[in-house]
Amino acid sequence: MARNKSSLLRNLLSLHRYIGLSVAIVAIYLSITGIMLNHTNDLGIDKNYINNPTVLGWYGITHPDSLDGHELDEHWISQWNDDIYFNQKVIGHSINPLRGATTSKHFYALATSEIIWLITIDGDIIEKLNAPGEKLGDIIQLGQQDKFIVIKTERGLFKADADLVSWQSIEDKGINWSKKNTLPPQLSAAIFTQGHSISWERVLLDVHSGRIVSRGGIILIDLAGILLILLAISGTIIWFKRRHRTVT
Amino acid sequence: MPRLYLLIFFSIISLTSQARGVYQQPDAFLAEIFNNKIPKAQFIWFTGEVGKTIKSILSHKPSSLRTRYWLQEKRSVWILEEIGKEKPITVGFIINNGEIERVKVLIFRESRGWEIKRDGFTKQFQALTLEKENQLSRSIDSISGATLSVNAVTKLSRVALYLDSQVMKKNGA
Repeated sequence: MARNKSSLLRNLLSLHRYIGLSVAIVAIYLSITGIMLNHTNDLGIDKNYINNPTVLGWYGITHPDSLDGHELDEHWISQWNDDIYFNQKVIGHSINPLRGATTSKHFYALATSEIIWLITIDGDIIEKLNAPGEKLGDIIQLGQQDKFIVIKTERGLFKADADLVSWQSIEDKGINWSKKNTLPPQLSAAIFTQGHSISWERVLLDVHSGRIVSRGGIILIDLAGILLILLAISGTIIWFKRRHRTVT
Repeated sequence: MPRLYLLIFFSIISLTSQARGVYQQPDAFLAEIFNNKIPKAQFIWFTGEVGKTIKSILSHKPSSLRTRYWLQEKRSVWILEEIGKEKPITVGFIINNGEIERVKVLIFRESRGWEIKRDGFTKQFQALTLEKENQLSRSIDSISGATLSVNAVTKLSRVALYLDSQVMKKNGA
């Protein structure tokens, strides 16, 4: 009986050792990535985005050959991945589509479906207006009439005063509507290169869970998890058995 | 037992669904405050000393070069934006005679921290004034899990009080 118990303990020890050896690297890997995930904010990787086309390719992220935008004098206003660009510079974010860009008396203006942005000729934001909002409906098109901002909404055409404080209904006469054009290839390429879409935090999360190498990675991490549980159980049993043997 | 699980499930869904969203359109907020007789909007530019002070309150450059406000006697209304963690929170402030009369979270775009929209939180700002070094006259209790949103609204309240003081100074009040 005692010999059986001793053989069981030996087998358990051997099993414990082999499980330990096989999951050691994965345990270290999970610990490091787990600690990093706990501190994504401190490490700054939650706001650090990927430009590497290979990594982006793993996520199936591609971009079109060219980008459309609106030309203002020698500048271009465009939107890519919810970012609004003034030439190559990101000046803001909008989940709503860009409806146009135009020049007015004192500044440039661009519009998404809900917000009008007034910007300087250097691309600095002067003001973002939630107006006209629900009063006039969502913006469909942006233009100008005699350098005054004009919008086309679901409820008609409206012209703003110089400060965009009040709006009046107008007829569709002499309005220069903002038109979409294809950005110069170099500018499109520059925007695609710097256009961020996935943060390093997301990649780290996928590295931690094994998703980065699709199904095989997930199964490997699951297996490692099960082995770690077995390791904890076998370790506890061995400790109890040895303790019991020492006492008796 | 399954009913209990369903109840918990739908409670969680309902809680997350009320997190993000437009609680009140800025236009509707103004109409409510001024009983549909909204005064003409005026502007204040963030240049010179005003720009420097706002930068020091927000701890970063303001995201725009000017903001508009609505003034009726000694009562001014401000609709301001500040990023909590990643996305801007739009908040309406009514300043009356140098004191905060009301704070209302109008649009919340973040995924966490929506608890700042609750009256229990916003009521803390009532009657607060600006003291030395542009600090509030009383500290604001934080909300667990919404620290960044609380910080954003607190900073904006200081900005609103400061801008109101500048407008009143300009108007000789």
